[in-house]
Amino acid sequence: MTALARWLALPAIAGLFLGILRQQTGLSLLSLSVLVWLLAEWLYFTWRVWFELRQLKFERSVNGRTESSGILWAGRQVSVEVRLTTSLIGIGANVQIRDVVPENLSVLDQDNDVTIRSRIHTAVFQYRGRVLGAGQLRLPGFHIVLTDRQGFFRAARFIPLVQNFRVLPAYQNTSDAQPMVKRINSLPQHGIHRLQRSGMGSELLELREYAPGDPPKSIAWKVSARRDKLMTRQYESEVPVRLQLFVDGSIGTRTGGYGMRLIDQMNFVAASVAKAATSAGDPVGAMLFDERGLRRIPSGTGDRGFHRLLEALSDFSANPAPVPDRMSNQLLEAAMTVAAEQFPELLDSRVNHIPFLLFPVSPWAHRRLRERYRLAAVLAQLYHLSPVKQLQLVYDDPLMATFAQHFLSQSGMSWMEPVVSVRNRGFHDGMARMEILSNALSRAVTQARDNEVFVILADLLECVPSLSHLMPAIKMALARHHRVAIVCPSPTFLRPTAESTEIRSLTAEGLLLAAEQTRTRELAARLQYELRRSGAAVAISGEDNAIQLVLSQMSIARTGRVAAGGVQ
Amino acid sequence: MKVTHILERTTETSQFSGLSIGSVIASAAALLFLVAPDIGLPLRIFMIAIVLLSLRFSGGVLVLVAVQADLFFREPKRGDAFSGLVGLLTVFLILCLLMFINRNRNLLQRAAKRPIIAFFATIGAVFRGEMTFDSGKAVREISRLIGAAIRGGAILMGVIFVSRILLSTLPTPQTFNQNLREWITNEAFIPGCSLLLGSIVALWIVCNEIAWRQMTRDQARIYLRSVLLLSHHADFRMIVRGRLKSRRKVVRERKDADATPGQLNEKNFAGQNL
Repeated sequence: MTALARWLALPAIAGLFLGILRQQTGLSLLSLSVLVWLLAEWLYFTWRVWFELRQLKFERSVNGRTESSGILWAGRQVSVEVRLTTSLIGIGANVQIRDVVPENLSVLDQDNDVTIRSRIHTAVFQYRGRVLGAGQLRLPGFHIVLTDRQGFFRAARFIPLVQNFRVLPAYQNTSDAQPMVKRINSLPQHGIHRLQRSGMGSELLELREYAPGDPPKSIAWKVSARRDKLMTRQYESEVPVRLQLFVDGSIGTRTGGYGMRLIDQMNFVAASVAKAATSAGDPVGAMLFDERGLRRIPSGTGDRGFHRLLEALSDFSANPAPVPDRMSNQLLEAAMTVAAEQFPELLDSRVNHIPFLLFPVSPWAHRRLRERYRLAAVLAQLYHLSPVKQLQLVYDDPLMATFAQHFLSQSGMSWMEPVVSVRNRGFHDGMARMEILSNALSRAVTQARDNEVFVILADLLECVPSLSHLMPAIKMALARHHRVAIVCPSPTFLRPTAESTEIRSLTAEGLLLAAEQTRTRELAARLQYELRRSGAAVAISGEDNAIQLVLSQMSIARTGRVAAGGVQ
Repeated sequence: MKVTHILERTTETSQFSGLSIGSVIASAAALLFLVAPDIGLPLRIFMIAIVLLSLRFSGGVLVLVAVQADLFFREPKRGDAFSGLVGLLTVFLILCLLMFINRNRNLLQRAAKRPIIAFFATIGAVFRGEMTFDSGKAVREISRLIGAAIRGGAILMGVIFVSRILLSTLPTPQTFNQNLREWITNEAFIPGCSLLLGSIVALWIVCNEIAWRQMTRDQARIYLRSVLLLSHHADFRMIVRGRLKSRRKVVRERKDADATPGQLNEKNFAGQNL
C-alpha cells in the first residue's frame, strides 16, 4: 500500500464515521465508496501479484545468443533482446520491467527500462549498450514493479535470469604494423643472439617434406628430383622480438568505475601492442601482479596466443575479493541500493523484521541502523551466515564493509571509494608494489632467451619515492640489451602536457581537473627524470602514443640497433 | 494467435499527455468551484490554487477532503438528496474525478519537473510542425484509454452499489440503541454471531495461510531468521558485543606491545639467565 492510498483512506474513514454520526448520507456514501474502492483495487492487485506475476517468463539474448555464458569485448556495442511470455490470461498494464545491468554495461537511452501499458501475452523489447571495461559482466535478471492504475498499491519483485560474460579488453589495430623485412642490414650488438624460427625471410633455415598448403614457389625442385619426393624450402624468419608485458593490478588501478579505471587504460595498451606483435609473428607473454602476488602468462604466438593473453587480462581485470577496510555511509547506501534492486522481496518489512530500537535517538541515525539491520539480514541470507554473525554485521563495521564490498563486487560494481588506499598509505603500498615488480622483472630477465622488450604497465606515478627499489632491475634488463618501455596510465586520461594543466572552465570540475593534471605533471616529470637517466622509455597515459612508443621499442629491438631511451 | 507486442520505454510519454494534464486541472478546478459557494471568491480561488498545486503530491486526497468538508458543512442531517439516483450519480462523478486525477498523477509529476519554458517550447514545436504526430500510436492510445475508462467506470459503479447496500445495513444513531437492546435480549442472534465470528477467524487463517504459502523460499528463510533474531536479540547482542570488546582488547594490547620495542618481555625469557 502506498502513501497515497493511506492518505486517501484516512479522510474516508473519518468521513464515514462523521457521516454516520451526523446521519449525512452523501458524506457517508462518498467516504464508504472510497474505502470499498480501495478494497476492490487491493483485491484485484493481490490477484495480479499472485497469479499474473508468477506466470511471467523471460528469455534474454545477448548479441543473438541465449547461452548463460559467453564472451564480449570492452568498448564495443552489445545488443540485447528480451522476450517475455505469460500464461493464457496474460499480464495487465502498469508493470514496469527493468533488465538490471551491471556498472560495466552502459545502456543507451535507458531502453532497458520498459513498461507494459495494456494486457499482453507475449512481448519483446530490445536495447543496446556499450561494455565499458574488461573483466566480468553479469546480467542478473529483471526487476519488476507492479502497480495499480491509480498508484494505490505497489509490489516489487526480482526474477533472476543470470548470464555471465567474460569481457575481453579493447585493442587498437595499429595502422603501421611492423614490417616483416629487415629495414637496416646491420650486425647486432655483441651478446645479442637471434632466435631462429621458420618464416618467409631471405635466409634458408631447413628443407622439409612438402605439406599441402605450402606455397609452390617454396618447393626446392632440384632436391625434390634428387629425393624423388617434393621438398619445401623453409626460410628463416626475421628475428622475432619477445614482448613481455608487466601489468599492474593493484587496488589503486581498479577504482574509478569501469572504463575509467587505470587498469582499463593499461589493458588497452597491452592488448594493442600484443595484437601488433602477434600480427608480426612475435611471441607475447605477460606477468600480472597485484596485492595477491604474481601470475605468469607464458609467451604465445598467433591468434591463439593473443586470445589467451586477452583472457588472462580479462580474468585479471575482474575485481578480486575485497580487502577489508573501513565502513562508510556511501558503501552502505550503495549496497542497500543494489539489494533493493535485486532482492526487493527480501527487504520487505513483512518478512524482514527489525527489533525494537530505542537508540540512537536521532532519526537519521535510527533510519540508518534500521537499514543496516535489513541489509544484514539479506547478506546473511545470501552468504548463509548464522544469526549471531548476522547481528555482528550490524555492529561490526569492518565485517560489514567486507561483506558489503563483496556483495557489490559480485553484483558487478567496481571498487567503492572507501577501500581505495589513501594517499598517506601510498608510500608503503608503492614500496610493496615496486618489490613485486622488481622481482618479476628480475625473473623475466633471468629467463629471457633473446633480446626482449619489457613493457611495464604500472601506476608508478604514486610510487615515485619508491622507484629506487625498481631501478636495479631496470638497469639489469638494459645491461642485458633488452628494451624497457614504461607506460604509466594517467588518472585524467590526458597526457600531462603544459596545455593540459590550463584551467578550461571555472567550474568545480574544471578546477579539480586542472589541479589533478598539475599534480600528475609534477609527478610525471620526476618519474621521467629518474627513468630517463637509466635509458628506459616512458609514456604517461594510455593513449596512442604509448602504443607507438612500445612499437618503436620493438622495432629497435628487432633490428638490433642502439637507441637511447626516450621520453614520449 | 498471440501477438508479440513491442514494449515501450518507461520514459516514453503519451501523445495526449498535455491534453490529459489540462483535463485533470480543468475538471478539478470545476469541481472545486462548486464547493463552498458561500465563501468569498478570492479565498476560494486561493484554496483552489493550493489544491491544484498540490495535485502532483497528494493526487486526489485534497480534492476528496474539500468535497467531504463541503458535504460536512452543507449537507442537511437526515437529508435524502443522496438517496436517489442523482445522489449515486454525484458520488460516481466525484469518484471518477478522483480516479482520473490519480491515474494522471505521474504525468503531473513529470510535467512539474520540467521548466515552464519547455512547456511553451513544446507548444511552439507543435505549431511549427516540428513535432510529428504518430497517428497509429494515437489510435492505440485512444483505444487503450477508452478501454481503461470503461473498466474504471464499471468498477466504480460496482463500488457505489456495494457501498449503498452496506450503508443501508449500517445502524443509525436512532436505531442503534434499539438494535443493541434487541440483539442482547434476543437469543436467536447468538448462533448467528458465533457463526460470523468463526467465519471471520477462519477467513483470517485462510488468508494468512495463503499469504504464507505465496512466500518464496528465501523470503521464508529470512522471515524465520528475523523471528529468531527478534526472540533472542538481547542474547545475541550480548555475544556480539563481548566478541567485539575482546577483539578490541587484543588489538590494543598488540599496539601497546609494538609501541615499546626496546623493553624486554620477561615472559619470553622465562627459564633463561638474563
